[in-house]
Amino acid sequence: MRGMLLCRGQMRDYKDLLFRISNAYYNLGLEKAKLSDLSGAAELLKKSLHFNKYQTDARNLLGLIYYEMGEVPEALVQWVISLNLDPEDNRADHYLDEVQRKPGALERETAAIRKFNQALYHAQHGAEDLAMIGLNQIVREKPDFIKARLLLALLYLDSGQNTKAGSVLMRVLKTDRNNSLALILMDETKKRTGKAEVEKNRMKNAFSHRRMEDDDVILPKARRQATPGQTVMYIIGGVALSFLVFWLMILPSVRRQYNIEANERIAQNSRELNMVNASYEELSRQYASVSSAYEDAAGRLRAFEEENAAFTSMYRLLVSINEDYAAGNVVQAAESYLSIDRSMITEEPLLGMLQDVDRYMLNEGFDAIVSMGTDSWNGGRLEDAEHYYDLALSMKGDDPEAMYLKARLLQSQDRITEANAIFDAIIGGHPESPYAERAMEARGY
Amino acid sequence: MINFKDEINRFKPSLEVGDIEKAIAKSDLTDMSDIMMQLIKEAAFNEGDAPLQRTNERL
Repeated sequence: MRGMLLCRGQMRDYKDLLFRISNAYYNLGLEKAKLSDLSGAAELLKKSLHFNKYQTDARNLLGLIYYEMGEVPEALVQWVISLNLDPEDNRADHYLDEVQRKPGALERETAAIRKFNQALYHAQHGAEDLAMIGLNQIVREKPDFIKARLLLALLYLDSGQNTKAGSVLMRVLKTDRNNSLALILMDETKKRTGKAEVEKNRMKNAFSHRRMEDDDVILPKARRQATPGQTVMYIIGGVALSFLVFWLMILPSVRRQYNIEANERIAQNSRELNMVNASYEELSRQYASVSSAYEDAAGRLRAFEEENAAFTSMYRLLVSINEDYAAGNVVQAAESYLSIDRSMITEEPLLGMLQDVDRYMLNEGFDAIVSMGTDSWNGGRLEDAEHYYDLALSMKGDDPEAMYLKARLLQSQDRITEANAIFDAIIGGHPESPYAERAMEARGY
Repeated sequence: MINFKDEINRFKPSLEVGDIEKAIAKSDLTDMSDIMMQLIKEAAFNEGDAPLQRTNERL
């Protein structure tokens, strides 16, 4: 336990580490979002919030991603939570205003989502045709509702409408380029439509070429004169060709360069993510180790408390018996005495206390209760008398005097059968006691 | 091979606008800082609440 308190001093360091991890995940998520990898970005932003729920930028961006994917209520949830956690100067306020400002926007969202949920119900309960009709309507009204498009693509593929599925999936991948379900379904679509084979061949051809041999001869083409009209056509054609060359040859290399740089950034980010993941795993291991040590200590503490609880309760009971007896509450002392659990008293000093209690309860205490029974009998309080005799016999069940007195009491109430049973027990169990002879007389022998 | 039925059944209904309030109320905003603070608090509480001491002296 002392070890856990010392960690307080390190709490600040841990908090700083958590914030750094959170910020790292946010930065990675932001990069992914800029590259239109919305699913990947969402996962990273959720991790960021897992480490620091006050990472407002991460939460706001997560809301924007949900909005972009057509899940407007989810976006609103994130922005409202963001405003609650960070009310001052929060961009989420502006986003919420934008959504609410557009007249009828929320009503349209409500209608679209209800239709989607209805279509999903149809799809999951065998009414695929109805589902496809509903989903087609939704994607017309909300083209960026990714979930609806994915479900529609699934239904198209299941019904063999592969080209339609491909077209729906293209739009999904335009918005969310690394959506895993969309990529899997697109792969399936290409296999079914043969497009996969075509793409493979295109790739092969792009890298094949013929080498020139040494004895190859290049024949020059013959030149002929062009007319003015032809010259103009040639000029226009040349300009057009230049644009075509630029479009086909220069622009792709520019794009390629951009992609290379983007990929390098992703690789760099992936390396950083690996480092962050390593820190996260290390922190998780430390947390698991601390948690395990805490559980172990808590278990030992509980066991120790349980042992002490038993000792404490028996100690208190013995003390109360002592106090009641000393105060003259013999009946109370006797009832408490009968509730002692002797199996829980195994060590000193409780054993010593128990011996003292046994000594006076089974002698003076017992006698006092039997006397109370007899006094009650003499005073005509027969029920009380029987109660006291029973209490005494609970303490010492084989005392012949108490047995005889109870039997006589029962006999006086014409409860002959019960009385005779006790007389017989005295005669059989205590033949040398003076009460045996009395029991025989009372029994009528 | 894609099992279309399984994939369709994996879809969950989208959150509706009318359920936004419930979703916000049910959100679990516990983060790693909260977990660590809870752990420290429990440890501090248990250390402060010491159990009864047993002794071998006669009471």
